[in-house]
Amino acid sequence: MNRFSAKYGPWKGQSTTFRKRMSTFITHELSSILRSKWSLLVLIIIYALLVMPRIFAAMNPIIGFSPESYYSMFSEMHLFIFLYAAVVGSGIIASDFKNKSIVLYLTKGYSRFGYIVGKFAILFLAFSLITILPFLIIYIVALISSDLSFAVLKDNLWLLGAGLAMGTVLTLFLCALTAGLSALLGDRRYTGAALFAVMILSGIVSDILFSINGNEMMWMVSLGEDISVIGTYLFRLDGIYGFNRAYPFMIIVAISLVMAYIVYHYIYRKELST
Amino acid sequence: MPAGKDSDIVFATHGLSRSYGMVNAVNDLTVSVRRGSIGLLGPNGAGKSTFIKMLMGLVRPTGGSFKMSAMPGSGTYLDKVGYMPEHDCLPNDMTAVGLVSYMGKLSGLPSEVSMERTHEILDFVGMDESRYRKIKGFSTGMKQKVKLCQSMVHDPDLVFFDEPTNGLDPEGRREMLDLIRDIAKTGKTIVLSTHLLPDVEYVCDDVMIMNNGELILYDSLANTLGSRNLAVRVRGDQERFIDHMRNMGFGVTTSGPNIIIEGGASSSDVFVSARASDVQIRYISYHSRTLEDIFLKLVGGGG
Repeated sequence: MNRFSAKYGPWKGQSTTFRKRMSTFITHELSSILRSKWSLLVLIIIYALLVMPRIFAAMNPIIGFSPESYYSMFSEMHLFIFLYAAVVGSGIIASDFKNKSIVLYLTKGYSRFGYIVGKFAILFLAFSLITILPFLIIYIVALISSDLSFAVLKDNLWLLGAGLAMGTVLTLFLCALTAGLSALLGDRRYTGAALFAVMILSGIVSDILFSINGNEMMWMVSLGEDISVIGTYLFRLDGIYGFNRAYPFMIIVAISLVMAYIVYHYIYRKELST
Repeated sequence: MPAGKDSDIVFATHGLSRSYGMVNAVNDLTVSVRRGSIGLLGPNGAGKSTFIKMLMGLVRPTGGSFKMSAMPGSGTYLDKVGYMPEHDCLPNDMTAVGLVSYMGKLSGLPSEVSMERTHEILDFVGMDESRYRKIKGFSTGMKQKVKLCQSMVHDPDLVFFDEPTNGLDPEGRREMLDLIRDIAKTGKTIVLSTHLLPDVEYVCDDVMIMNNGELILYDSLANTLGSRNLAVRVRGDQERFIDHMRNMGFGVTTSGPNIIIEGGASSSDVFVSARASDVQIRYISYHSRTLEDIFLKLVGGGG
């Protein structure tokens, strides 16, 4: 019997649009990485230890709209953010290289461009859960806990912009760093280790250099410090730094661009020998 | 090239080349491939996989170009092309049904259609409840079937199978070839890349032979194998008999003690020539060329 004609027929329908396919891609990949028990565990730890106390604190109107409070939330999160990035994002491209499933993606009508944009969107959404979302929750709780007047909102609208900008900068940087290292190293364990190494080693090197020559510029070697400096600028806090606060921002942008290029190179330029 | 109309051309290459340093993996390959089931034959390293990967956009040509015939519908030509890769490429943490359905959606199928067709194609390859299991527990044969399903779920017009029987036991190999043959019978164009000649003879109507990155033959299997030849042994002046047969317009070669007469000679032609050249026929039988004979002759391995 011809099994083919018996059970499988032609399909003459209209192919779905690129946007629909990208939505499928993002939804599928995002749900699979967030379903991981490790991702959920880290997410719960971050919310339990860092976000929830601040939500309760935000019910006090004085703390709720304090720029220092938001700044310290982002600063305290650094290590957890990198832990989360290592657990959630390290395999984002590396796993596709490791099991060679990248070949399946790139030989479908869904394009390389779609693959790259989709991967960045997945990381952005996943990382937003611990950067932009906690900020928004705390801000909304603070608003609700105040007298909900238009005047309060108007007075603190800049804080909403600052928090969203801080969350976006941090998230985009994390996306580029994670995706770049994942594509470069091709192994989720190495990528996870590299993310931690980048964060911790840059801090150690920065401290050593500063203790040697006492130049505050050396602080910029630390990525955590760079992000903190950007935070002081966005939240309008007085900087104790002896250098232009635009420099750390430029460093973060430069690293992000290099990492984005690595992803582009590995997906677009480099040939797949699999 | 097999006979046919220009409208039957599914893809054409012009001077397609790919080199890695000094090594030409594919060298100046120009061919217009017609619909049908095509066996892409060649020894390991002949350039078959590189050729397919260039057509699938995985490898960038260093020279030349290729053109796929117009495919219906929106999207790129890849929406109407399927590819079953040679190597293991399946994500281990997905189920067969999950992966095939997901690949269908990325190939442009609406969600519900993709799931429906996924079950149809998994039925077709004979995958039962195991379709709901994670791929990491699958045997090589099951993985090959999943790879075939993901290449077929979106109803492509053209499908490339790159060494689909690799790593399969004889039973699994036969099953895989039966599946591919059934697919070819539906009118889809299939390109079966392999170094196993019997696979091509079993499945394909046309054959392309590559060696050292060059296309050295593209013709129908029937033309390639040609008409049956005669193997003859004679007592007497063998050279005189051979000359006489050649004068009658037949091609003559020798193979061990046998004289191989090509060109559709009948046994009566042989006896006529034997009488004329005064030799005695001691043995006569039909001698069919196999694809292996032709392959070895073309790639320089014999004859």
